[in-house]
Amino acid sequence: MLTLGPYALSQSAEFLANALGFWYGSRLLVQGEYTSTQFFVILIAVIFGGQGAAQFFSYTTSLSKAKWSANYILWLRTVKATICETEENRDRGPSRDDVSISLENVEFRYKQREATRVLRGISLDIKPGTYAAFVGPSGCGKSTIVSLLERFYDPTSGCITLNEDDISLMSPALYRRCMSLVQQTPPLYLGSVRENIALGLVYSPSDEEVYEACHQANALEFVSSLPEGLNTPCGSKGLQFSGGQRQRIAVARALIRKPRLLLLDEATSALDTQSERIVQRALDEAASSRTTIAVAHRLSTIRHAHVIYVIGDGRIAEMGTHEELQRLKGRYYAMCLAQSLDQIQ
Amino acid sequence: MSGTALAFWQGYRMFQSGEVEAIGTVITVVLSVTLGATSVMFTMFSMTAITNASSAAAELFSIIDKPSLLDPLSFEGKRPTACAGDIEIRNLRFAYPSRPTAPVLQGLNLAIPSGKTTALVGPSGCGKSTLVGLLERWYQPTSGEILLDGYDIADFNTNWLRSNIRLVQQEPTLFTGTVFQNVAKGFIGEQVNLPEKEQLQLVKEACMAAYAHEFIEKLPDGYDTQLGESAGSLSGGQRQRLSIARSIISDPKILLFDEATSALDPRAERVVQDALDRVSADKTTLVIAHKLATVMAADNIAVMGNGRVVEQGTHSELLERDGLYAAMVRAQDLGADARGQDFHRDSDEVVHEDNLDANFEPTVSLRTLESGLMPKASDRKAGQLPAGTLGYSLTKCIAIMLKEHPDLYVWYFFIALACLIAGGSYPAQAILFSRLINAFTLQGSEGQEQANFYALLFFVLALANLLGFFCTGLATNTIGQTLTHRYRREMIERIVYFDQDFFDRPENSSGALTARLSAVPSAVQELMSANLGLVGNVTVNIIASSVTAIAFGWKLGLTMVFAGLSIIVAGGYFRIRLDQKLEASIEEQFASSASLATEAVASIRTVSSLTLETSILREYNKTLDVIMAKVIRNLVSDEAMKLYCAHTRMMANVQ
Repeated sequence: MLTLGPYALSQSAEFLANALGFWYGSRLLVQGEYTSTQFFVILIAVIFGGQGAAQFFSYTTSLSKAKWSANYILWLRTVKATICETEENRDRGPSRDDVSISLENVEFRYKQREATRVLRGISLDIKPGTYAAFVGPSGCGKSTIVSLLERFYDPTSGCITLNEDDISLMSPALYRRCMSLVQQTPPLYLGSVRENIALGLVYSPSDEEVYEACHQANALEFVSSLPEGLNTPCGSKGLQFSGGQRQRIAVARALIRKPRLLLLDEATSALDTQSERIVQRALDEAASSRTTIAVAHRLSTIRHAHVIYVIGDGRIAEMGTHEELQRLKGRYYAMCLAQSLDQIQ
Repeated sequence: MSGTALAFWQGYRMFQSGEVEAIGTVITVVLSVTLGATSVMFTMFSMTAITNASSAAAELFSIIDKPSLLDPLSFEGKRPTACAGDIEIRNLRFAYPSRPTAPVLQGLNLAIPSGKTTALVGPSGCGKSTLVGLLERWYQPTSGEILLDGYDIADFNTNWLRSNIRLVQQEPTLFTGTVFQNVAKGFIGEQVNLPEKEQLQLVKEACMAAYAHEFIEKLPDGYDTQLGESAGSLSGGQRQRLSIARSIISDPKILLFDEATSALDPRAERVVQDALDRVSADKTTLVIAHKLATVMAADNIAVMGNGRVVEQGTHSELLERDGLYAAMVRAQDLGADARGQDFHRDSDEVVHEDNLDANFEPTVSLRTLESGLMPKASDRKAGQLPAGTLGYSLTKCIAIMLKEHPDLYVWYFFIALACLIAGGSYPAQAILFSRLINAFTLQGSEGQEQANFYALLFFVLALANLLGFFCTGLATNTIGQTLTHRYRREMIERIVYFDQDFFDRPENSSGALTARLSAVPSAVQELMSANLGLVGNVTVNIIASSVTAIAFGWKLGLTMVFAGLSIIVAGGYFRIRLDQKLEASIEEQFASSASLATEAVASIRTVSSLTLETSILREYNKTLDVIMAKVIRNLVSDEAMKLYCAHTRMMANVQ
C-alpha cells in the first residue's frame, strides 16, 4: 500500500495542475489583469510541456542498469592481466631448440580456493627430448602442473624454467608458440577441417603441410575419405565427427605448429579403446622427436615414458620408469594392479 | 500537429460561413482530434509487443497441438502386476528420425534372459546406446519387435514399462534438493504415499545396496544435505552411486547400465562397479560398455558391429573363438584372468575414493545455470559485488564516455539541435494555439487572415518537428551503432587477454560473460544515444515552457511552473518507475518456475526414465499457481488505483 499512494497521485497530477491553472487563471482574467491570450499561452505551455516531458520518461530504459553497465566497462579497464605481453618481455622467447623444463620448489593455490595448496613444493627436471608422465588420483594436482606449464597461471611461489630461463619473464605469446597442448576433449570450432587444423598458426599453411600434420596425427585416411576432404565443415562443436576423429583433428592441430614441447592432458581418456589405440600411436610417434609431458590416469598409455612422476597430495610421491616403480611396490604398483596392468612387464 | 493546423483552418472557415455556430465547438473538435490522434500514436508503441506476442502465440499453439507419438502420461496399455523380465529382440531395425538414411540397427536379434546379466560390447557408433533408447521407448523401431515376457513392449503402458526398466546412464543427473529427495525420485506407485519414516528407511536400504550410505552419513547434513546448491560437493563416483540407489529403490525387474562407469576415474570406477554388481544380482541386467573389464563376468556377451550382433557367448567362449571379441580383448591388454580383481574388492578403497574425490567434479546445478542465463539477477546484486563496478555516478560515467568519442561530436551536435527544435515546439505550440483561439474573436477578413496565418505557422512547426525528430533518430542510431560496436569490441578484447583466474570466478562463467557481452554495451549505447537525446529534449522543453509561461505573465506563470509543471513531471516519472518495478517483480517470480522447467528439460532422459513427468508437472503447476496468486493480488490493487484515478479525472473535468 505504501507505493499505491504515490502511484495514484502520479496518475492525477495532470488534472491537479489543470484545476490549479483554471482556478487561478480565471481569477486573474476576471480581475482584468490578464488577457485570454496570456492565460491560454501560460496554461497550454505548462500543461503540454509537462505532459510531453512526463511521457518521455516511458522511453528511457532503466538508468540504474545503464549506470551499472557503464561502471562495468570502466571497471573492466582497471582489471589488468598479470600474464600478458609487456614492454620488457615482448622479445623474450624460449631460446635454443631442444626444450628442457625444470620446476624449482613450485607451490600453487588457486585464487578461488586460497585455503587449499594444490601443489606443495614440486621440484623436477625434464631433460630435452624425453617423455615425462604425471600420474595420480584425480585432484592430486597433475593437471594443475600442465596449466602452470602453459602459463595459464603463475606459481604462487617457486619458479619454472625452460632451458634455464624463467618462463614468467617471457612473452606469453612467444613462449606458448613453442608448445602444443592436447586436452581430453579439445573443442573444434565452426569452420572447415583445414581451418580447425591451421588455427594455431600465424600464417596460412600449404596443403602439403596440412596433409603432413594429418598424416602424423593418423587422421589422413579419414580426412581424405570425407566428402569435401579438408574443406568439410566441422559443424557446431565438431559433433558430426566421432570422439576419436575429433581428437585426431586436434592432434593434427597441435602438430602442425611443430611444437618443441608437447603437453598431453588426458589426451586419450575420453576415447573408446579402438580410437584410443589410433590416437595413442599418433601421439607416441609425435613424442619421439620432442620433449613431451603427459598426464594420464590410464597407466597403459604412459608405460613407456622415460620418467613417471606419481603425484600425491601436491607432492612427488614416487618417480622412475615403469619397471623401477613396479619394483618399488608402492603407490604406482598398487595403481597398476588396480588397472590390471601387472601381466605386461 | 499538421492535423491541428488543418483543423483550425477548416474550423475557422466553417465558423465564418456560419456552419458552426460556437467557437467552443471548433475547439472541442480540434482538441478531441488532437488528443485522440495522440492516443492512437501511443498504441503504436505497443505494436511491437503485439507482433512479438502473436508470433510467440503461433509457436506456442504449434507445440501444444503437436501430438506426442509416445505419450508417457497416457493411461493406455497393459500394466501387469508381475513381470518376469524376459526380453527378446527380433530382427530390430532403426534409423534416427533426423537421419533416416543412416540405419543404426540393421536386423538385431538378441535374447536377454530373465535374471541373467547380458553384456553388449562393440565399437562406438555401432548402435549399443540406441538399443537403450528403444528399450526405454524414447524412439519407435522402424521394423522388428522387442518382446517383454512374450508381448511387444509397445503394448505395455509406457509409464509402467519405464518403472520396470531402470536405467543408469554415463553421466547421472541429480536434481536440486536433498539427498533424500533425489533418491526418493525413484519411488513408484504406492511408494510415493508411504509415511516419511518408511520412505527414509527404503532410501537408506537402497543407498546401502549402492555403497552410498557410508559417504552420505559423512555429509554435513547426512540425508538432508542439499545437492546442487553447493555445486561440486559430490564426486562423479558418488553421484553415480546416488543415481544407482535412485534406480533400484523401486525394485525394478530389469536394469540397463549404459556406460555407467566410463566417465569415472579408475578408483571411482571400481567402487561403482561393485555397487552395480551387487544391485544387479538376480535381476535381468543389460550392461553396455566399451571397457571390457567391466563385462567379463557377464552370463552372455554380445558383440555388436554394423547394427547387428556379430558373435555372442561367455568371455572364455568368445576368447576361444578368436574373433572380434578376442581382438578387442587383446587391444585392451586384458589377460585370460585378471588377478588384480581381488584388489578391487577392498572396502578401504571405497573410503579412499570418497576422501580424495570430493570437491572435484562440479555438479551442473541450476544455480550455476541461473547465474549464467540471467544477467538481471547479477545486475540487482551489482552493489554487493566486490568487483564489477567502480561506484562512479551516472554523470561521471557519461562524462568519461563522452570524452572518448570526439568523432561523434558532430552527431551530438545534431541531437542538440534537434532537442532545441523538439523541446521548443511545446511553448511555440502554446502560443499558436492561443493566437488561433483569439482569431475566432475577430471579425471578417482580418480574422480569416490571422486564422490562415497561424494555421500555416502550425504547419511549419509540424515540419520543423518532423525534421527535428528525424535528426534525433538518425543521430542516435548512428551513435548507438558506433558505440555498441566499439564497446563490444573493447570488452571482448579485454576479456580474452585476462588471466585464467578471472574465468575461475563463479560470476564469470561463459554463460554469464556472453550475456554481459551483449547486455552491457547495449545498455551503455542506449544511455549514450537515445537516453541523452531524451534528457536533452525534456530539459529544453521544460526550460522553454517555463520561460514562455513566466514571460507571458509572471503571476500565473510562476504558480503554474512551480505548482503545476513540477507535479506533472514528477507524477509522470513516478508512474513509469512504479510500472517498471511491478514488471521486474513479476519477472523475478517467474524466474523460479523457469529454473524448474530448465532443470527438467535439460535432463529429459533422466526425467523420462524415472517417469517423473507427472510429479514435475505437478510441481511446476504449484509454482505457477503461487505466482498467479501474487500477480493477481498486485493487479487487483492496481485496478483499484485505476478506478481511483478515473474518479479524480472526472472530478477534475467537472471543475
